[in-house]
Amino acid sequence: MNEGRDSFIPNPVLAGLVGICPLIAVSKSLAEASVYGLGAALCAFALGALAPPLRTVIADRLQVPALLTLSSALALIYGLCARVYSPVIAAGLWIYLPLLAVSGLSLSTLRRSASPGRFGPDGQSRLGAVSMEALMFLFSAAFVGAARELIGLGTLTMPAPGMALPRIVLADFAPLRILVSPAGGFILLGFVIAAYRAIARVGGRKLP
Amino acid sequence: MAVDKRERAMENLAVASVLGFLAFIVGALSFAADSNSIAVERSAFDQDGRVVALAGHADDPAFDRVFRIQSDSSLAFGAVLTFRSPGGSALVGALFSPNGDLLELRLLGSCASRLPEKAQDLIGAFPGAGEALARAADRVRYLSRASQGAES
Repeated sequence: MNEGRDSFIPNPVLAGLVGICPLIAVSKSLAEASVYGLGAALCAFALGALAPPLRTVIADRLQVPALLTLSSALALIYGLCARVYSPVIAAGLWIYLPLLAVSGLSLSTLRRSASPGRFGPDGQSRLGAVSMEALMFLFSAAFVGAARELIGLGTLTMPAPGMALPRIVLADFAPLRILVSPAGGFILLGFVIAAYRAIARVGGRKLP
Repeated sequence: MAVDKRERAMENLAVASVLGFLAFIVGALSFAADSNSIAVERSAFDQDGRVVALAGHADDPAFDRVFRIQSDSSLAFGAVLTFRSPGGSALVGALFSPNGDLLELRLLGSCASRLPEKAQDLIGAFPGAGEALARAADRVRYLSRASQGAES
């Protein structure tokens, strides 16, 4: 029973509040939120995969700056790829694309700092747990972006390559425009967090 | 002591080589991404005449480069501007005459703007007409200077 409870990985956004400020800033639409979430997930996954072998090569005193540099480089590479994939989405994500470095780093190191005992004597993170959290970040970002755009503007902008993004217009008026603003985004996120915590409590999960 | 120093030097060398490799990858990718951006921006003005990319990047956060567009009868300058508002963002192709007058704005793509006609409103609000100190007006003035400099 304890084993099952131990294997529970809380959602980094809804339980750990990781990276919610840039997430709210960029999740005005499904397209931007998905591309941002994918970037954070890929950065976290790549860091989770690259950090353990790097730790064996790089001295202890240089590991933190090296990890930060690696994270920044990954964010930069993803930003360049996003610019090629869709210049419109990249323009919307703006300064938040390089800031993926922080979200990716937070996601990849969260598990180690939250429960260091579960990561073996060498302290290396388990790639599976990091991947799981990265996926949760991606889905949370896409969900928040879709909900804000759908309820706020009555549209859904799909991520797509090129300049023209396919947009589904579900209402010819903006139902609740405040949700597109940062304040509205935080209000919506608050409700989603409350629902997540309530469901987790019913399921007997203990959240931080 | 000497061994310790040599060990540290080797550690530093290992980190430097890893970071150097990363810098090489990022540099190579940024060249590729830049040439892709030039091709995409250039295609926005293809219909207006023969497009020649001007050398150097513009010192403005709203656009990266100015294109010289030579048609049979006239010369114009174009830039792809980025407009951001709380409602969304848009990429707009702006066409200028050699003396800096704005000839045409065309929407290339938008994200999270309410509807296409609203995106057009977003474009119309930005050139800063009638606002002497508006940032958007400064941007147009900059374009004007850039185009005049390029002509001479």
